[in-house]
Amino acid sequence: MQGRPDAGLKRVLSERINLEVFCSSHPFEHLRPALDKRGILPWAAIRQRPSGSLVRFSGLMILVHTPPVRSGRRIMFVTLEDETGLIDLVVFPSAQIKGARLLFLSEVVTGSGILKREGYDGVSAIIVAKAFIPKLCGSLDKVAKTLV
Amino acid sequence: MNMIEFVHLDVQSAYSFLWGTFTPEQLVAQALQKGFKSVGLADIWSLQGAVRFYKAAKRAGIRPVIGSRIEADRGQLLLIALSRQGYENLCRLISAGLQGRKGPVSMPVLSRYSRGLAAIFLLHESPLGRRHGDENGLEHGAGRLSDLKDIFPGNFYLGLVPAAMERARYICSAIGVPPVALNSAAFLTREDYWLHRLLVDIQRRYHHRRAEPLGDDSFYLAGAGEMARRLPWPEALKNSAAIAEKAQGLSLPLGRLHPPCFQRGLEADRMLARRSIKLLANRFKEASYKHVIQLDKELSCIKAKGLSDFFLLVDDVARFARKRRIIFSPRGSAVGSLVVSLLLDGPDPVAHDLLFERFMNEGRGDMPDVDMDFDSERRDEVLAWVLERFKGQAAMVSTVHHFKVRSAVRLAAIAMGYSQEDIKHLSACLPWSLRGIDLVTALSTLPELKNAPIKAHPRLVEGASRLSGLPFQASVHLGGVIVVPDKIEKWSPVFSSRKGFPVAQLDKDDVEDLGLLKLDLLGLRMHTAIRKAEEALWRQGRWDERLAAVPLDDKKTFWELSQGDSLGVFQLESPGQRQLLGKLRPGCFDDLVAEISLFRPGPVEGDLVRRYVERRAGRASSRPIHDSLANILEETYGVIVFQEQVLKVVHTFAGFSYADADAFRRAMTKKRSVMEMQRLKAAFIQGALQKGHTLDEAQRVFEQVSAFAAYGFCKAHAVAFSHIAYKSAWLKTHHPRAFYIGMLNSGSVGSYPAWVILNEARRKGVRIYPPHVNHSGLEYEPDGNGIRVPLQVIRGIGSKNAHRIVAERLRNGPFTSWESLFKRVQLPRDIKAKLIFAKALSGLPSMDEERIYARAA
Repeated sequence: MQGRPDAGLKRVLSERINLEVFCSSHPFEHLRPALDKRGILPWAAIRQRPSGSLVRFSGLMILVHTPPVRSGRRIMFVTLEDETGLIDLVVFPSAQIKGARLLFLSEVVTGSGILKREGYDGVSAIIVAKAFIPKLCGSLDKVAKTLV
Repeated sequence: MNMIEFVHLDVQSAYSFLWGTFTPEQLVAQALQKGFKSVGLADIWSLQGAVRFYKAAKRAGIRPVIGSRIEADRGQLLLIALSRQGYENLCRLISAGLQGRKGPVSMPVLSRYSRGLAAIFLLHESPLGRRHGDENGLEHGAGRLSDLKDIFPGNFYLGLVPAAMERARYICSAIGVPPVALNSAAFLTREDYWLHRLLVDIQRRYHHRRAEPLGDDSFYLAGAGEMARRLPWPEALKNSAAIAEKAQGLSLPLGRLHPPCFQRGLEADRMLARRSIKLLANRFKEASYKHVIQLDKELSCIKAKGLSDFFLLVDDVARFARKRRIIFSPRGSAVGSLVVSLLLDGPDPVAHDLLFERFMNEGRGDMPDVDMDFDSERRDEVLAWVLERFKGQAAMVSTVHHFKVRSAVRLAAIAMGYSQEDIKHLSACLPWSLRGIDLVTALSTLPELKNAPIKAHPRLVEGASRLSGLPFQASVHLGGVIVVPDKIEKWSPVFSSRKGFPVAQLDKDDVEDLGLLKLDLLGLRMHTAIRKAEEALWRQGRWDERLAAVPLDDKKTFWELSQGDSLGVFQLESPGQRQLLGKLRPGCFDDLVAEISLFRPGPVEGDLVRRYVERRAGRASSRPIHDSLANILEETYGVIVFQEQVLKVVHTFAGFSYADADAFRRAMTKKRSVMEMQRLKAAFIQGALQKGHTLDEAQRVFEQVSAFAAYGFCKAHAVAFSHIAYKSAWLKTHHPRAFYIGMLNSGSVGSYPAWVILNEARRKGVRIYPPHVNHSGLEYEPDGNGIRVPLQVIRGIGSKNAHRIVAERLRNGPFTSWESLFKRVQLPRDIKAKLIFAKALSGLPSMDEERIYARAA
């Protein structure tokens, strides 16, 4: 349900324009209720789910990295951040066909993928991204307007 | 048929930045194709490409002629080195011009450094060659050239191009100067003229320089026959070949070591021994037998190579840094040396089982590299001291920047007249570099470029493609300093960096080829971050005594790391490292060494990471490739992770000396020569058989070692970095707020921007206070239990305005109202608006808030 953005969101969106950092809060704290309604969970909740789960994620883009890998394929390693932590994505070539441009041009990235947990207690957790939701990718302003 | 004798002497490569269109290697290839036996390179005010040109020419069997174009009082000269002395003088003359901002070299200076040089007056580049119908002027000008004839007796020539033939004939006969045929080649084929024009347009439209491209497409590497047709003056053609012949008197001293010598002779050996023994005694109180044996071995090797002076120089640098309380640490293979460890307070190589031979051995012909990391904010103090101490003998190494795909597109677009808005649109999604594929391939294969708008601009794509990879400017190496045996200007021209440091026109490869000593005095921002974190603790009265010697077995630190909580931790914060931390769950210092070594392109490509993780977790057998190698590979569960292990395996299994084992390791790179591999395999198997192994075992171990040797990482380097990584992790675990403050105040320390670090601090319960004119400083600061953000985070405020506000507050107390701020600090209107919108005045009363707010808006 769309309504008036709360004061916290307004403030954090203003910080985005005027400052280089977020001082009052993380913008996703204010978007979370709307994201929850769309089944997009925070990273802290996603990483508790069993390995192999299909999950929806959303976060602020931090970096895209395409290091050389053994297979020679071009694999994108993407790091996003929501209010609960860093989200690491692996984007294989099949998902890059539709998603690569979005990844390079978006401030907020939203999509779905398979959670993979490895290591002792499954501490190492990544999402193998399958698809992105263009409506919820783009600038923070745009995504906030769409959500709230 | 008579062969036409002609050699191109006036050739400008891409090291004449934004002018020439080809590399020295391409020049050599083209000269070979055109049938030249000799070719010259004469970049403008530069010998930057000389060493690689010389090497490429020698390799191809072509005789190189090294020169440079400079400007003297009388006009432009092409100077060619005829001997080593000529090369040295050329270096001095270029330096003289560069230090006068490419101003003309005066006649006295030219006269002083003329020996060993041939000088060609470039008539077509001077007013004398262009003036028409002014016989008096021509006579006068010709007379002025007589001075040059006297300065270069027997080696002064008049450069001849078709456009100025008649005037040249007059001058040659008037003052008795021989002519020489030239073509001023800035491109290799006619078709590349447009590329030359594009480069010059970058000069004009991006750098706003006054530059004119060459007049037409004839200035290419034309064949001798064509040159003879263009310049029907056989003597002039022949003279070019005669000069090239004379220039064979120059031989660059490649492939030999040229360590600095401080005339201490044998005394240097004794001094180094005394110093090392003293430091060993101080550090260990009771030195172990292993340490003493190791030290003796290293000192003998250093003495045999005549490098004691070099190590004393390293000691001097460390002493200076200690005296000034500048944090430093060694890095690289040098960490495997006990002498280096003692001189630079590095990790103990005996305790970490490191190998000196990876750093130095009797078989290595290159200079050993001792690299040091300093607190990045104070590194320049060390550089200044070294360069002053060895004034005239030392300079910084240069780095040549090459066009990468994105910069090529942007600059080509500027040169072609695209608007900034168009350029932004056209370069969206373009990566900075393409790792081996060209732009055209990238546009057709990378999904993010599938519908890239640049595809509709084929000329731009072509221009950018041709620019990609070409050198476009010389800069200063991150920290490389060379110290030569005598005068630096005998080895290279020298120019001044922006900071005023002397910089040689030699890059790191040139330095290695010339066998010169290079010290890498690098700035490490993590040292700065750690220092600033400690200062924050000190200021808050929360100093932790453990910081003097952080315990290496702190369980809490390892727990945090094993949870992948490593954002900001040195070397362990990348997404891949965070994932690997969760899989490896480091529990001790050696685990960190393995962790840092494994997450590298080599080990990843070699599939070492998966093998290591599986074996460490007990999911795969840790059996080594041969039982006799169990001790060597035990620490890494039978996987070859470290380069030092390769040396030990080859030494133990096949009986190679460590020097030969190191040569074996270096030969096992990705560019393996088939012949060399066969030779090494035969030697390995023969050695293994002599050691009593079977042929089958020998072959099996060789296959394994050769498969992984190229992927190993230098353990010594990993140990050095692990110490810094551990300390940063320890700080983050025990003093997170101070750690974040240190990170935030040290520039770009790692992979993450400030907003990410600050968000994590908030998640860890640290309060973040916004910028405020009465509370913020110029750096992130502790405030209560939180962090106060500095004024500079306000977009567009600029550090000058922030400085003025803070300085006024510190001088005359807090601001009491908006008016008080605006009265006491004269700020531009837009800055006032930025402060207001950023709420940096919140809580301060305003007499007329609404009016000011409206005005600012």
